[in-house]
Amino acid sequence: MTTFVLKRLASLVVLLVVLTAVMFLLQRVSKTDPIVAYLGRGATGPAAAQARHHLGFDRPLIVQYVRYVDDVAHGNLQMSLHTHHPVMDDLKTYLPPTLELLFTALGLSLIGALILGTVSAMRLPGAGLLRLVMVAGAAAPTFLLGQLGVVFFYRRLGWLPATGQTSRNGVPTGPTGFLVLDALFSGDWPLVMDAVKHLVMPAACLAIGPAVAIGRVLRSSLMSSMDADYTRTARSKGLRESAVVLRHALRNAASGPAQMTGLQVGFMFAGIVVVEQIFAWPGLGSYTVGAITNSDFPAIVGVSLVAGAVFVILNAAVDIFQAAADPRVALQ
Amino acid sequence: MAAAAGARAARHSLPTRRDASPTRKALVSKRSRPRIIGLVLALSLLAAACGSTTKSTSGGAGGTAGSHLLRIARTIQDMSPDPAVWYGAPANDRQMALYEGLYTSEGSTATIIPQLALSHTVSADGLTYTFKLRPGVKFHDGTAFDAAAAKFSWARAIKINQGASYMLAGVKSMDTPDPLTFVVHLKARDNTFIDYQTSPYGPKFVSPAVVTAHAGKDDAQTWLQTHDAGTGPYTLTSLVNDQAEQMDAFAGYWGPKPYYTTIKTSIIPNVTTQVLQLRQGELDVISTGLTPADLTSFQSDSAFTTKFFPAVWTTFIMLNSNKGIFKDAKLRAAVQQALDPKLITEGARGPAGSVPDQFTPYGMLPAGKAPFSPSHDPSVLTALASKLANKNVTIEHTISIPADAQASNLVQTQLQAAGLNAKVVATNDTTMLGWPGKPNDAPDISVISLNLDTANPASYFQAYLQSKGVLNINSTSIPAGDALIDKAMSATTPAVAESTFEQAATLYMNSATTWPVTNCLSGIVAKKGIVVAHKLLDPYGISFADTKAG
Repeated sequence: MTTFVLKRLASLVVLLVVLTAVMFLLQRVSKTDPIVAYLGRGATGPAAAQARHHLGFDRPLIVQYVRYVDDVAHGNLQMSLHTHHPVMDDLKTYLPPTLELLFTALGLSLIGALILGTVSAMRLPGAGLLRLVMVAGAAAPTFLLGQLGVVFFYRRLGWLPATGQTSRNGVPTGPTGFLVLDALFSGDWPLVMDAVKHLVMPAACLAIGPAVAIGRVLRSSLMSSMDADYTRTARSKGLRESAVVLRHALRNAASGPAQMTGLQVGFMFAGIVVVEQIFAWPGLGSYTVGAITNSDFPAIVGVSLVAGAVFVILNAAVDIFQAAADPRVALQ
Repeated sequence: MAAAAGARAARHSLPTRRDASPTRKALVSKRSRPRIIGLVLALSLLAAACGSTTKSTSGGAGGTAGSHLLRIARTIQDMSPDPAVWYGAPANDRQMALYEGLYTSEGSTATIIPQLALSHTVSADGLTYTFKLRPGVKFHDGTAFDAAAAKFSWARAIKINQGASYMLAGVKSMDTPDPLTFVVHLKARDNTFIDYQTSPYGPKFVSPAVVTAHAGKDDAQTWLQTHDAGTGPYTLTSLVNDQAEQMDAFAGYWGPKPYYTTIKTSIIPNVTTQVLQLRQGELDVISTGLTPADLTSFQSDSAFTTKFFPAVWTTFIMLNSNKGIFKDAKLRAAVQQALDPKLITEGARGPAGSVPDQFTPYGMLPAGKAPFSPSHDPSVLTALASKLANKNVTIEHTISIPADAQASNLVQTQLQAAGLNAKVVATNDTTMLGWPGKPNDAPDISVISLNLDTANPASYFQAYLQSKGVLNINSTSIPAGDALIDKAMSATTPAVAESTFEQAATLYMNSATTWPVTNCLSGIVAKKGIVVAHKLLDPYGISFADTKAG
């Protein structure tokens, strides 16, 4: 296990170094002047020269890269050109809401996948209808799903709010940065409810596609597990069908869906940009859009590094889960 | 039936492996308890989550006696509100509510009226401005505004050298002979100096006490990202990045007290969501980003008031005369004739646009001056295009303005019909701002809506048309035009400046390098009962201080 974790950490470092180099080169080959991004329409004359020197863009390219890598190694992701804050500070602000949304969506997608997979594999009544609804939902583009969700659940039914993380001002900002958890820790139940209400729609939009993808893999894994000898033995011992599925077949069928979950996390990260825009979620997606439209490369690099790290870490967690669920799978 | 029921009962009464051991059953039950509790908690949380959302109402008189809330939305956060840094556009309304300058414009007109200056005199050589300041003005921290504060604010802005710092670049020195007299010496005559004072981006005043107390290492730039230090009718009470801002009316304001005591701004990137929230009663006003279809729909809805205000905001077509097929002046003139401004205006802006009848943006020159109405005749371009070896043309617009994307598509359609092979490309604002002086980077055609910094023609000619103009997107260079602009800038009387700008307008008009196709209007939708006010130089927002219920 220790070797596995160390190997994954090493691969994470390599990935981040490569990402840094690629993003740095992209910035330099881009025709966009970072000083224009920093000063906007005021990027002229002495103001531009002063800012160029202040941000180090007047130094040789290799010096800029070495300085950049050194800064990143020391946790300094440089200054965002459009917010004029250190990128690290921005990430501390914007990452927790995104992770809260991502983890909630991941949880919802796993629950959805479990229901879809088991109900379909066991051929329970309504399985066909459930599959139809979920596949239709997954087939719809995220932006359309989000917009329809706002129209129906906010405008027509009035059940859920359309935007933001909460309707309240002055909400707690720590210790986790996850509003629902922070509200729980502060014992503010109305805020917990409010935050959950705000989470439901964006998380569901983000979850439905991965839920169907994972659920379909789970269904086929479960169906083959349920035809296996050990399942027949469990049945012959008089266990109820639900117990056979939950205790024996499901654990053995977990490997494929776990792998698919790892892949889906990447797609979720991509979908978060759209979902955060539609639901005005104050996370990394909104920050990324601002960074891209302003050619804010330091911010874009910062987001890329975080996204890469989260992806690697979650996939490592999936591998560990896989090994724990099925001892035949060795951690390599 | 009874037999079957009996058989089921018998089956159920048979001992099974599960209930064979009472001890095991109890253990299972204990183990399951946390799961059941968890399930119940999760379900109750979900049920509560799916309960009805609270609908708050506002916009008119409401809340506590004398307190009125106005809720608006913006698609983006915009830059730091620090007036020495800010040079955005979407948050013009916020800036004008927090900070004030020496002069402002009256309502939706270009008429200059006093703000923190009561009057001024100019020396005969045009180099010294002596301002008489308004007495009794207080900053939001309670300290008094005076000449020393004015000098401090401008010195800070000059030192920071960001935002629209060019407006103070001509200042040589400042004197404060008495607390209500502020003297500014310029390096050279500048006919736009007073116009700069009316601009949302123009020099504003900050409390020296606040800036000194929070100076840090950056002259309080960090602190002023989330706080304010102005004299305006509102004070910034909270700013949460990419979420919301709140401003409350400033009790010590020198002018009339605003009707709305609290302004809440939500950052909602998606305009469709904003529209749903307005219809649902969670917003009171939408002042920017509405599509022609949205505006038309609200116009026929009696629950809302839709108004269109003039703005110094124009959509231009710019041809790159430095490369490609548009080096040919005849071809440029033919394109100008081939494009139908009415079609572009109606398609891209709908009711929030009108076809210009002057070459300069709205409000810059008196009506009838620099008239512009090219005849629409695509046949000239069709004839010329048929002889071209290279018919490829690239049209670029910024991704931040959907109406410009639509205008670009309409330009493409008309050029295709005339025989050119046109493609449309979206670019970001930052890239476009990097084109001046780099004609090879700029596309063949740019379609761009620009809101000007002031209503003085110099803001247009000097920045966008002159060779050295910082926003000369297509790097147009007409030496005779440059000379006329310089002459107008140093003219000793407004009449001379105006007639010189008219001559320059004719020159640029005939070059067919840049011309207006749409005078954009600010299309603002408000809940019925709200009378919105607007400023000419703010195309995206409303004037909070002058907006009322009625």
